[in-house]
Amino acid sequence: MTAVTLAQLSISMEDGRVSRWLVADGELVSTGQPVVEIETDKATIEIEAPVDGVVRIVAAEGDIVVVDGILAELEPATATTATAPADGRAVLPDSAPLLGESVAPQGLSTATSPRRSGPIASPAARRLAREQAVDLRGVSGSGPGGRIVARDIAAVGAAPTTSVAPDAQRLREAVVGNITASWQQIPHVHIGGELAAGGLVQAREILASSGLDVTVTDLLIVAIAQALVEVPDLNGRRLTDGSVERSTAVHLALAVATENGVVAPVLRNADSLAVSEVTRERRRLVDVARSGVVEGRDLVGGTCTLSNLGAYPVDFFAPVVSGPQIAMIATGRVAEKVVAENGWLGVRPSMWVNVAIDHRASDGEAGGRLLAALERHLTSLAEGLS
Amino acid sequence: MSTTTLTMSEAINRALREALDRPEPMMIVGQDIGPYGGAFGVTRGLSEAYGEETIRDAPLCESGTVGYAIGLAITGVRAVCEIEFFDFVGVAMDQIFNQAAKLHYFTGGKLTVPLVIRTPIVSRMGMGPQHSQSLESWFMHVPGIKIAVPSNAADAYGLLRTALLDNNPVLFVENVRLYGRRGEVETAGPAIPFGKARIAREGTDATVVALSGMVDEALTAAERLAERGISVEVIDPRTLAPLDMETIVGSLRKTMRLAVAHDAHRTLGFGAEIAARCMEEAFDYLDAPVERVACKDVPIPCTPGGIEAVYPSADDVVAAVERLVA
Amino acid sequence: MTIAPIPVDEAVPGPRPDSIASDDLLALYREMMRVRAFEDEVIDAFARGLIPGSTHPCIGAEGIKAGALAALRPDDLVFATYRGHGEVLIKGVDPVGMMAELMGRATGVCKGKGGSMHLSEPSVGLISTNAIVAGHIPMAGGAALSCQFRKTGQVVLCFFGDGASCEGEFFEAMNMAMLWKVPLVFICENNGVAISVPTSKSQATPDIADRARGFGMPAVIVDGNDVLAVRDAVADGVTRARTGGGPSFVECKTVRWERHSAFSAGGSDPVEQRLAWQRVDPIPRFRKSLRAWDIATDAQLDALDEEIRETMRAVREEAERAPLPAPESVYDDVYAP
Repeated sequence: MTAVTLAQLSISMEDGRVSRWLVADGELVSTGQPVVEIETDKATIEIEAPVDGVVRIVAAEGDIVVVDGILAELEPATATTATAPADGRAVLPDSAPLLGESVAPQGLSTATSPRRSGPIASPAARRLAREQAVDLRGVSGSGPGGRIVARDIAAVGAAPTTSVAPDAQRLREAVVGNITASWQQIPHVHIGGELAAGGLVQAREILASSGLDVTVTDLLIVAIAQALVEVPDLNGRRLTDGSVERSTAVHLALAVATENGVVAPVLRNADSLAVSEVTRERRRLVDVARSGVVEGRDLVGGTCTLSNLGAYPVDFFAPVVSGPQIAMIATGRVAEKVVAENGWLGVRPSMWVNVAIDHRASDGEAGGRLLAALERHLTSLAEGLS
Repeated sequence: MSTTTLTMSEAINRALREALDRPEPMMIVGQDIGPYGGAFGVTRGLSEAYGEETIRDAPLCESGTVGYAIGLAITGVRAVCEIEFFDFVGVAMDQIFNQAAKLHYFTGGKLTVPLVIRTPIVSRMGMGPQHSQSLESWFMHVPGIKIAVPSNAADAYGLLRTALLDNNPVLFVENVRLYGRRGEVETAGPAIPFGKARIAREGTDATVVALSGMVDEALTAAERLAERGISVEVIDPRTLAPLDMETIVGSLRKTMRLAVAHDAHRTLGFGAEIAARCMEEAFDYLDAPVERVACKDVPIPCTPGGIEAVYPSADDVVAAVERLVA
Repeated sequence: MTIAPIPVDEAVPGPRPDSIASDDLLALYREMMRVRAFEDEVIDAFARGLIPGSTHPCIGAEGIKAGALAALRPDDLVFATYRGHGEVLIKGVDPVGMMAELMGRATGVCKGKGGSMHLSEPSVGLISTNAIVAGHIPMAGGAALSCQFRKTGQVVLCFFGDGASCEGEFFEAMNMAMLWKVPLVFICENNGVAISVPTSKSQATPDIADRARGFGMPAVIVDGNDVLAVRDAVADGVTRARTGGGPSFVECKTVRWERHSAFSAGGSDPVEQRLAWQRVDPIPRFRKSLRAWDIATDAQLDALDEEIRETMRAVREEAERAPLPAPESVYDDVYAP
C-alpha cells in the first residue's frame, strides 16, 4: 500500500485544503495521473499518483491536511502480480496489457516520491533550531532558494503564527526537564561574598528623586552586565561537544516566579542598555512571563542568569546553573550590616551575592573575579547620576 | 616602542640586514641579488655592505641555487635564497619539497634546515602565463615547510625576522605590487610569530580570509559593504603553515559566513583547504556555503582585458559577500 | 681512453706502495670486508622480511667506498646515495644504529624514519644519504661552500652514480662548484647501468669525466675495483680542495651487483651477466696484493673475515631485538624546534 501524501510545495506551506477529488474511490489510477486538487495558501495544485494502484480516499473534500499528511492510499491491484527481478527490470505478467493501451495497474514495486526529508536549512540554522528547540518545519526560509538560514530561526518568535501562548503545562515540563538535567549533569561550584551595596542604594535614591521607578533588580542587571563583560569566562555557553562559547554581548536571563513555576526570559544586550532601557525591558519580560504568553524568542539565547530573591529575608542561596549556560548569579536582600573598616566599626548596606558555576566550563577563581568586578560596578553605580 | 615608515621592500631589506649583522654565519644567494640589488630591488645595498661572498649572485639555475642553499643551511650557514618570480619555483621544486622539507624528518631530527626562500607574486602586471602565478598552495601540501605570505610592510618585517630565526625551511612569499606600499613598521618590538592571523578589520556579518594582495581588495570591499550596513571581518592569516585556524573558525562562529580571497587559481587553491577545514571544524556554524574568490582556472594572459577578467577584485569580494548574506 | 675493472684472475699485483703503512693497507681490506659482511647481513635480513621497503646493497663497490674514504680526515664531510651503506659504515656510523635504521627501529640512526635509503650521522661527518638521484649533489656543493665560507678547512666528498650524471642538477652543481672553487670531490660510481638501462643506451659519451672537464674541472678515471687507485685519485682531489684549488672529479668504473635493488622487478639477466661483478670483485683482488706484499697470509685474512662476519651477525641480531618506534612518533621531527 502506498500513500498519496501532501507534499510541501513551498517553504512556508504548512497545510492544504482538499478542494476536489479527480478520481473516484476504488478507481484504478496509473503513475503520474492527477488524482486530487489541493488549495494552498498560494495556489491550487494537482497531486499525482506516485504509483499505479486502486485509490482509497482518506481525506474528504474540504478537509485540511497538514504537510506530509495522507490524502489517499493506493492499493496494488490484486488481479495481477508482477515481480521485480534483482536487476531492477520489471517483468510484466502475461496478462498485462501493452503500454498505453489501458490504465491497468502494473503492480511495480512501491516507490515513494524521492523527496528530501525535512526542509532545506543551513548547518548553522539547524544547530540554532536544535539548541532552541525550534521545529524547522514551521520556519520559512529567507535564504537563497528558500533555504532556512540562521536569521530565520531568530525570527521564529516574531512570526505572527507563533504568537499564541505556549501550553503552560508543556512550558513547565520543559523548565523542569532542564533543571533536572542541569542538576544531574553539571558539577557545581558555588562561590559567594557579602558585597558593599552602598552605591546601589544611593543610585536608586538618586533615580527615585528624579521620578524614575528603578528597582534594585534593574541596577543589579546593569552592574552584573558590566561585570560579565570583564569576566567573559562566565558569560556564554558550554556546548555539547565540551567546548565553551563565550559571548561578547550579555544576554541576561532573569528568573521570574510565575503561577507555573520559574520562567527565565532573556534581557538581550544588557551590557549596552541604559538603566531606563533595562527598566522598560525588564518590566516587559516580567509581564509576559507572568501572563503565561512568553514567546520563544524571549526564552532563548541567555548567556547567564540572575536570580534575585532580595524581596524576601534571604541572604544566601545556592542556585542550579541553567545549562547550557555557565553561571547563575543569586542575590539576596540589601541590608545594613555592621562592618569593621580601618580599625573602626561602621554600618553599611551590604548584599550577599552567590555565583553558581559549571565546573566543567570554568572555576571558582572566575567567580571571584566576577564578584570583585561586580562590587566595583555596584559601588560606581551612583557615579554620574548625581 | 619605535616605529618608522618603510615600504615593504625596505622592510624586507631591513630584516635581512639585521640578520646579517648577527654573529652567526649567513649567506644570501640568488640571481641578480648582488650589486644589481635583485630583480625588484629588494636586496639593494646589501652587496656593498656585506660583500659579494656573503651576498652571492648565483648562476641562472634555481635548482642548483636552492640545493646549494640547503647545503649551506645544514652545515652551519643560515641561508636566504631569492627566486625572482614565484613561477620559477617549479624549476627548483625537487630541492624544496623533497629535500628542504624532508631532511629534518628523515634524519630523525639530526639535520636542520635554517633556510628562507624569498619569492614574489608578480600578479596583474601583464607578465603572462609563466610570470604571474601564486603557487603557495603547492607548498601547503608538503609537510615540513613553513609558508609566510605578508600583505604589508609591518608584517613583512616582523614575519621575516621570525623566519630568519627559525630552524626550518620557510617559503617567504612577497608581492611585487606591494613592494612600494608604505606602512608603519615597529622596529623594536618582538618579531611576529608564525601561526597568528591578523584581524585586519572587525565585523559581524561575514568573514573574508584574504591573502597577500587580496587583503587590500577585501578591505576595500568591506568598506563599500559597510556603507550598506553589511559588516565584514577581514582576516589575513599571514602564515599558511602553520595556519591559525583558531582565529578563522572563531570569526566564522561569530559571523557564520565565510569567503576566501586569493590571487591563486581557484581549484585546490588555499581557499579549498579553508573551505574544507571550516566544514570539518565549524560545520554547525555555516549559514551559507563558503565562497571562493580566486583567479579563474585558466593560464594568466598578458592582455590587459584578460588580466582584469581572470584576477579577482574588490568587486568580486563584494559579490561573494552579497551571496553569503543573501 | 678505456678503463674497465680488471678480472681478479688476471690482476697482477704491482709494487707495494711505500708511502702507505702495512696497518693502513690492512685497514683498507678490513673496511671493504666490513662493508661486504654488513651488506650480506642486509640481504639476509631483507629476505626474511625484516627490512621494509627496499634496500640497495653496494656489494662490488667496496673498493670505491674504502679507497675514497681513506683519503679523508675524520672531520671531512660525505654525501652519498641510497646505494651508500659502505660510505656510512666506513665514515664511522655505528653499524647497529645503521642496521636498526634499515629495519625501521626506534634506535636507528634516524629513529626509523629514514630507512635504508636515508641515513645520517652529522656528528661523524656523514651528512646524509639521499634517495632522489642527483638531488644531493647541489647540497654537497652548498656544504663545500659552507666549509669555504666558514674557513673550516674541511673537504666534502659527494658520491653519485652514472644515472645521476644525466640529471640537470649534476651539471648545475658542477658549474657552481667550479665557479666558486669549493672544496669538493665528485665521485662518480659508474657501474654501467641505471636500473635496467645500460650506459651505452643512456650516455652520449663513454666517459662521464668528460663532462667535468667541460667545466674546466680536473677529472680522472680509475678502475673502481682497485682500492688503491681510487684512494690515490681521491687523495689528489682532496689535497687540491684543501689547498684552495677547487673541486675535482673522479670517475670510478665498476660493475653493479646483480640487481638494482633487493626489490627490483623486471626480467632477469643471464646468470653470467648477473654475476659479472664477482669476476672483478675488489676484495679477493686486494687480497692477492696483500699476500704478494707479505702483509698478511690467507689464513690471517680468513680469520679476519670470520671475525668481521661474526661481528656483523651480532650487529644484525642486536638490531632485530631493537624496538619499533611508538606509532605516535610519526609526528615527531616534522619541524625543528
